[in-house]
Amino acid sequence: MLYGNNQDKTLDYGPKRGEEVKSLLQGLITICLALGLTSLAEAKELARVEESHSTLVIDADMQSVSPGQPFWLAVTITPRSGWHSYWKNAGDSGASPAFDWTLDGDATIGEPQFPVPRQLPLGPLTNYGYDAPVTLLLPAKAPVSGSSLTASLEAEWLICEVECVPQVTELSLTLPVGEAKPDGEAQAIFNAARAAMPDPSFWSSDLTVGAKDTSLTVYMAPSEAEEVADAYFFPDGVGVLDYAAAQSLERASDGIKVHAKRPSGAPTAETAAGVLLLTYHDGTTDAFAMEPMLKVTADQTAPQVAEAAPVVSLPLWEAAVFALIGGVILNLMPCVFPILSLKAFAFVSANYKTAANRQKEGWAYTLGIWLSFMVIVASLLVLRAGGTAVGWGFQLQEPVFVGLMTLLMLMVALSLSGMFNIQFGIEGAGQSLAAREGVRGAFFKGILAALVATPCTAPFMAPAIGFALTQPVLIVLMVFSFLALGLALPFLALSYSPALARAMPRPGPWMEKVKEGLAFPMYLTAAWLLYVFTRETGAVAMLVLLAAIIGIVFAIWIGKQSGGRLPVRILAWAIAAFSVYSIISKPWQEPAHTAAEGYVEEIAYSGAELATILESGKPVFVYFTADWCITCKVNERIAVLTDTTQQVFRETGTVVMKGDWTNRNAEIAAVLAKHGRAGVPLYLYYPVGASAPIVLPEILGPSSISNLIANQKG
Amino acid sequence: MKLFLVVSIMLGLNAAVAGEGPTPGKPAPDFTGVLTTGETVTLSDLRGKPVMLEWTNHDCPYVRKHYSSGNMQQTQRALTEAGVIWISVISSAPGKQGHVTAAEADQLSESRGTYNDMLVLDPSGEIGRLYDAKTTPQMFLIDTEGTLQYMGAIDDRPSTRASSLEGASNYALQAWQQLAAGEAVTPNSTQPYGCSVKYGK
Repeated sequence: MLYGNNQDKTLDYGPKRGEEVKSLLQGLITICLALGLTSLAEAKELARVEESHSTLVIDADMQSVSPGQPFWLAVTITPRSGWHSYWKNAGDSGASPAFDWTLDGDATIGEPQFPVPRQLPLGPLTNYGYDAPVTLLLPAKAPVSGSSLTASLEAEWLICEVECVPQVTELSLTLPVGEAKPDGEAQAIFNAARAAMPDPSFWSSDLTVGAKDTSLTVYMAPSEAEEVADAYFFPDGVGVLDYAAAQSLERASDGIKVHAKRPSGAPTAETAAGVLLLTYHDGTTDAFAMEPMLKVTADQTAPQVAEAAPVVSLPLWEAAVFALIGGVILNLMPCVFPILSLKAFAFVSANYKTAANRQKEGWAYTLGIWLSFMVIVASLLVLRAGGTAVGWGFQLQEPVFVGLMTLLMLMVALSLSGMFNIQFGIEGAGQSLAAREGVRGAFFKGILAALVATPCTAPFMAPAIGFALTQPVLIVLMVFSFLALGLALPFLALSYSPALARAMPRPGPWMEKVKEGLAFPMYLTAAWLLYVFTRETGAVAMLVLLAAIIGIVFAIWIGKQSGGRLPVRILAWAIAAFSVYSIISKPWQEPAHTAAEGYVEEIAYSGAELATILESGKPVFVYFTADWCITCKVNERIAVLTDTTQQVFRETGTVVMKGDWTNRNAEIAAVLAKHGRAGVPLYLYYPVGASAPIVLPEILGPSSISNLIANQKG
Repeated sequence: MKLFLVVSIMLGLNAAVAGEGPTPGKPAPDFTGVLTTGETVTLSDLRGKPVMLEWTNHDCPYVRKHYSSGNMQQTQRALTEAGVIWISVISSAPGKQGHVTAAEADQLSESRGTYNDMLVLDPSGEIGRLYDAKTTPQMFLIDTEGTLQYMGAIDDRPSTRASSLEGASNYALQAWQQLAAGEAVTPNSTQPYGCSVKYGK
């Protein structure tokens, strides 16, 4: 309604009208423009280039400009009929025109201003551009001195139908500088071009860009919002929305919202500016240049990676220091400390060997520990290689890994808190070897220390192992070497200085307290991992993980009640295994087969459609479901969306209809009521020729549907 | 019974997270493609090696710029010599621009002196749609763990002129260099430019 010229008034921006009307209108536009251009042809063109698939014409609004004064240039691109040029954001493909000016003196020519674009769908893609002649306006300023403005231009603009032909030209233009003299003939071109530009917006607005959707909120009076029938937002910048997806309008009390999808891997949005096209109830349209406030919710692509970065980029020396400290702390654990104490007493006893011998023993002990740790590292690396081969990702970007690590950390913390003990039953294995005296004995004592310590070191090894799985081999080796050195360090120190041994505290209940206290950093680690996990997946996945954790704790509790009774222990293990499985199976993901090939295409439920299909003599399976209905989703996972059931549908030519009850719907409510149900799920099977459907139970087994269909046939 | 309840709740928590397109930092979608030799390649079989996917169409002017200038071949060479598996993908449907038979594809590789390791023919557009490939050229860098590290344009110059290559930032090469150096890849997603991928219906 604000368009000043006839051509633009007839432009059809809406996607709703029929194709024939569109092409008719396009024909009209072409004629109007042809007539318009003929009448404008008298204007003095500064430059005209005939390229293979388009014409480019440059006009100025002045015949001559006064020094240092601003004026405007108009660049008009006319593509071949049926071809198009592009807006400043070309959309899914294509390219915006590029003008590279070289100017003498202090003259300037600015960035082009683009008129309101159209959506140009192309298969699964959508471009923004113009399938008609388009005039871009460029602000310019005359040089302060000199008698003329000389500019040379390298221009590149893309013209596409389906295939694209780049148009490239080099030209130069001159405009006299002196007394200001407007070009009367060119005014019509500039008036038309200005009318086609979006209007400035007086509404405040903001654009919220999330990972998978974007919404533009425009604050307007209720009376204004009521007038709007449809809205479409053309973003100036990248990463804002999915160009090919439909946008939807929502009227709120404080204005309107335009919702759009966003590809999750899109670049980070940096600008919220764009053009908002409003269609009113009377069919007129209006376009506004918007400068919304940009609100980027944190879960876009870039921050996700940044989130994992601090872990990966832990400097090498820091990792080494932490490992060393961790190793030293291990000595305080109730299972290690007594060994150390005993040795300390032995060293202190006056006649115990020579200093050289003691030191040798110290180093042998260190070597023993180090070797044991290297065995652990080797098995870890094998595990990792095997896991990677079967597609496990050992990294913090992999939610399953993060989920399992969360679980592990919590188990470690609970173990330290004293809920249960981790035992491998190998603690006694090296006893006889370690009983030997001397250097060799010390070596085996080192191995023993690593083994015997497992009940209390395992909790501490777990974080190190988790860390190691995400790191390159060299770093893993280094971290574990320092951990080993840390564990051996007190013994080594004692072997050099018997005086230290006297200062050592005695073993006692304090060791248990230390252990329990160390649980708290582990709880915090688990909390942090849970946060990472939730950021990567979502609230639903978090609930799954928490349920799995509680499942494991429950399993441990059951196990403790067993008192050695086998059935109870089996139950405990089954619950634990199921809890872990519930994480590994990634149940928070849409079942992978929703889009799988070979699955029977579902038709949205409608009574009329059902009647038609039944008349055509096909059996029909109807299922009523809702996104919030857990029973429905379980049934669908177990019984409907399975290979077996789908195969039966295919073989018997069964038509599958889905009634979505996520939002209330009178028709579905009536069907539910008819079958005496207040809600979903409801499963109906209409055999060929039957007048009434067979109602399936509310809870389905894997073969409920296939058996039913087979029985009908038999 | 209790167990059944737990099972139901666990399975029931599937509540639909809509299927999403490729996303940096997430596992790259797995695919099996047919090579010009008739053999097949499966992305997940290449775990342990970094992989670069390049969508291409030899008749697209933007692709031509990168091949006739030698820029694409240089990028391919730099990466493949460093151990990256470079897979070029042609998703043009039969009868559309850029569609080639296996023999034509091999001949094109020969005449242009490419350094890619494999060329996947995807006339159904299945792999293209899986990756939401929009333009030629368009690049996807996948690390040894199968995680997508970069997606988008090959460089920052949406132009068909060879002169535009001068001083351009080659995002694909840069992404690989950052990945190889153990740094975070930035930018890890850019808007690709070029011709539309010529999908069939």
